[in-house]
Amino acid sequence: MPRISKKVCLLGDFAVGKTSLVRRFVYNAFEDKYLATIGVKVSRKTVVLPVRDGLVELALLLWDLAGSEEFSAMRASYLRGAAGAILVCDVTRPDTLAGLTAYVDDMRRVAPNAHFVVAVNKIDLPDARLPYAEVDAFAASLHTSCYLTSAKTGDQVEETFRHLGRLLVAGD
Amino acid sequence: MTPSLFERLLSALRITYAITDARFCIVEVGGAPSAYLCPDHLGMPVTDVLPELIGYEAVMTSVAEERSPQLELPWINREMGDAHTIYLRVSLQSAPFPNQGLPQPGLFVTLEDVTSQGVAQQQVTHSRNELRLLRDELAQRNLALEAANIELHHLDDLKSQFIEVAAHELRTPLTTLSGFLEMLLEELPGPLTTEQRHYLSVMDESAQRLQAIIDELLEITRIDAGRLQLTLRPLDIVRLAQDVIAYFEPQITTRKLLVTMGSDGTLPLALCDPKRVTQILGNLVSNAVKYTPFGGHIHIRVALASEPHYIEVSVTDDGIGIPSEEQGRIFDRFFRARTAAQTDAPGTGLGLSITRSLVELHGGRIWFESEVGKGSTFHVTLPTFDADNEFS
Repeated sequence: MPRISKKVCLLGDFAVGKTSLVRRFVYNAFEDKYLATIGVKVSRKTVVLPVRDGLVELALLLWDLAGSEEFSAMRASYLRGAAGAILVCDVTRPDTLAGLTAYVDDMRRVAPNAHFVVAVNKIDLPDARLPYAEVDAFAASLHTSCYLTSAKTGDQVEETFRHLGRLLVAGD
Repeated sequence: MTPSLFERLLSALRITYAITDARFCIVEVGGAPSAYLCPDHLGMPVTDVLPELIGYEAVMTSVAEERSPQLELPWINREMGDAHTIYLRVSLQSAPFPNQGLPQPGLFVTLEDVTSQGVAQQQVTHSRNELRLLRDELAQRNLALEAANIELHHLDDLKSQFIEVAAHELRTPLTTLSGFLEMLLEELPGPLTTEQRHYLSVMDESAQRLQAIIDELLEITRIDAGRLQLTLRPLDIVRLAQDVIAYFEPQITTRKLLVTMGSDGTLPLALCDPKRVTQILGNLVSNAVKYTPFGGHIHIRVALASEPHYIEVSVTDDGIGIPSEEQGRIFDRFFRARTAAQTDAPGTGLGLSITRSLVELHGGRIWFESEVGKGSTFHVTLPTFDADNEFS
């Protein structure tokens, strides 16, 4: 089985759940307490994906980047060599969707052919305020899909990462 | 072998280094001992040891060939086995010295353990982010409160409009009723028996009471709507207080009350609306009369207030008093103290609320002291008429 590895960044404002999504995907675990990330945390998970003529083993190098604006300046240097990104927003904070455009611009400057998937996280919470029509429109503008995820329950987390993985192997 | 000064310095600074060949395989490791970069890694591609460098291959070549300046990755997080995170600063430069006899240039990779700074930075960032979340949540709640407030104002307006219309509609037939009652009591249509007079007197008192309630309701709606305007003019408060006492003379006599009055020498004139101040003092004296037992004592004092440019009027009684636990609510609308409600004296619980609004409209204050069974003193301040006064 052919093996490939790809660098994938998790992008989004602080406290939208980027670290929790990675933790759920890689370790199938969840920590309810918020802990801000500074800099970058790299994790690795291998998934097997179907391709036209069989299967491929894709090692995803997941770059969990700090979302706080203090790290904006150094973010661009971390994006180098990335093949794709998961754009994460928080269903309870509408402004986190608006913030994603800037991350897309940053990514495209460094990696013009990068693939994206949008994750609307924390859908387990009751006070959803994000207008889904706006999320759909944003995902459509990137020609990609949007997933309603919960790092807490695990809803759609695997699907989100695997969807991006399929885009990456199809793009090879 | 004794470590060199260079090695000792690197250990003290918690810096580990590696030198790679041109294919970026590690050919030398030194500096502070660490689990993440050690002699066991010799011969391994540096990207295997530092996966954070995957994707930077082109940059690494460029740095090694000195076509680009050094590459630096600050705040690399590493989760260690015991669930704590260490922070590393990774720096890549072209290996500036003969590289194990290899002709091609390699990389000089340094890893600086910056965990102590990282932990502090993480805590600062964490606290800042939590504050931002709280600020956003507060903003969200403020918006919700503002919306609720607008809705409440709208409902309050509707309520006030309803009360105003209802009160006006009640007043018209009541005026007719009172007029005819007056004619009957004056025996214009013919003489009354004692029993008939008694019944008509009860009806007349009830009509007057109803009239007072309607007037209070209309007053409240005017205050709420901000439609209550003052017509200010210089006023002798002592004289006005005497007029108010005179108005209550029948009740004072019936209840055998002793009403006294005192004032500080020559007082300045007040700058007030006579009708509204009559209402203010009338309400305070009326309460004192209503809630002071037969034979009790009421004292009205007019003096200069402790704050400049104000006159203070105090109405003291030795009546039933207000329970301490209810004193905080005494100016609330429709609130009547337990001790007041237990008497036969009628009341809507609007009088003191209206009084406070009228005092505050004048720029004054109202407060009181009270003890159950011993009595109450209500104080109001009203502005004096002088050149310095803002109203003047």
